[in-house]
Amino acid sequence: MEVEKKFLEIVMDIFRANPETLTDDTKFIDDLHAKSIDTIALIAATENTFGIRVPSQDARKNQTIGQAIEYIKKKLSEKA
Amino acid sequence: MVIKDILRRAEGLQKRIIFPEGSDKRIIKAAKLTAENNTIIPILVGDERIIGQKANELGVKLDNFEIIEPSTSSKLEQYVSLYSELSKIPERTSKQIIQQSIFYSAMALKSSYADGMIGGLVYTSGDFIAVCNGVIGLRKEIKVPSSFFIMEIPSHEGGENGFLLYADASVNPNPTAEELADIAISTGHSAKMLLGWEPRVAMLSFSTKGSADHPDVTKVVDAVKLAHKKAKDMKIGGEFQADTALVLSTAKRKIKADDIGDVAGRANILIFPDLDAGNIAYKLTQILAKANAYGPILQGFAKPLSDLSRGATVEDIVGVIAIVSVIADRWDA
Repeated sequence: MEVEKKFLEIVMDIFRANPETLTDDTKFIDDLHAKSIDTIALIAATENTFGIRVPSQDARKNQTIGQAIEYIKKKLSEKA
Repeated sequence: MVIKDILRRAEGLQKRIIFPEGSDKRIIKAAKLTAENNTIIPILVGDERIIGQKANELGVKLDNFEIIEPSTSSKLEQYVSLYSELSKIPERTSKQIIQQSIFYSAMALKSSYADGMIGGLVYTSGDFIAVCNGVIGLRKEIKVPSSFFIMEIPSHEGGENGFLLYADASVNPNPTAEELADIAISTGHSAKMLLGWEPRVAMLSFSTKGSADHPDVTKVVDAVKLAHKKAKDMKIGGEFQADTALVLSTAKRKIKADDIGDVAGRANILIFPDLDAGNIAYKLTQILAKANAYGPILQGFAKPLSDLSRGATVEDIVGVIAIVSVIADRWDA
């Protein structure tokens, strides 16, 4: 739950999104209208919050919030 | 030759240049070489321990370097607050973003802690430009970043003693008339700042002064009008075919004497209507005219900065450092 909560907080802040509208299926580009700078800021905040490296080619494969959360959890378990 | 001249002019300028990829060995080497002749005072951003380790492996002493680790920097809170205000992202998340070297470095440049920034060894050009655009912003009245190449053409006697600037050959695929006008103005400014030229900017087309009627021609005609309006003192001409822009006898044949102006046949800057034309032209010039192409050099930003190709060598980086230092030195000129 902690990963979900922290990541949703980052998404809310960067995209000025209403938390009630965010679901696992929310798409960064189609639904949140992410521009390049938003994606780079999202990668930066994710890396520093969770202490993981997110190569930009990996980030671009994660098109939804649910996919991104799964990716972060996988990276954290590899780290542990 | 042009790079040698720029390297010589950059010596002793002591510009504070910030490098977001401070732990890359090529950056450390190039920074050392240019610090030795006082071109720059290097500011390396990254993990202090890793930078120290890499420098040690290279046998480079970091005595005259400034090393900044964003997470422990005394400027962190100030930059977080500024970035939060700029981006409207709350401070709790801005703090995480600014700890990333590229965002920290861009904020340091924006707040004039550094005179110039050079990066792009790790980041793609698109990402680097997006951060620079979002954090540092563009020059007053310029709405689009762009790039130019310095072309050194041994067989050409015109231009500026055989040199020409080509733009845009790497950033904007299909600029609008307004964007094309901005590219022309930015390139004129770059020519003044970097090379000390009096710009003579030709806006290229497949038509000369109305010889063809097509929406693509109209775009260039509109761009010329907009550029004249925005940069009244800059010599900008068009729409011209390439031969009209470069060969005076051809220009005299194609344009009436009272309409020829200062640019036709004498251009030292060529503005291409789109990225297809610009990119194809610079590569053909390189191959067929055995020209040297230096660039692409970014322009249009509110502060001096440049992108590096990910495959850049130490020698390439030294050249870019000299270019950014010279531009930074003449920034207010």
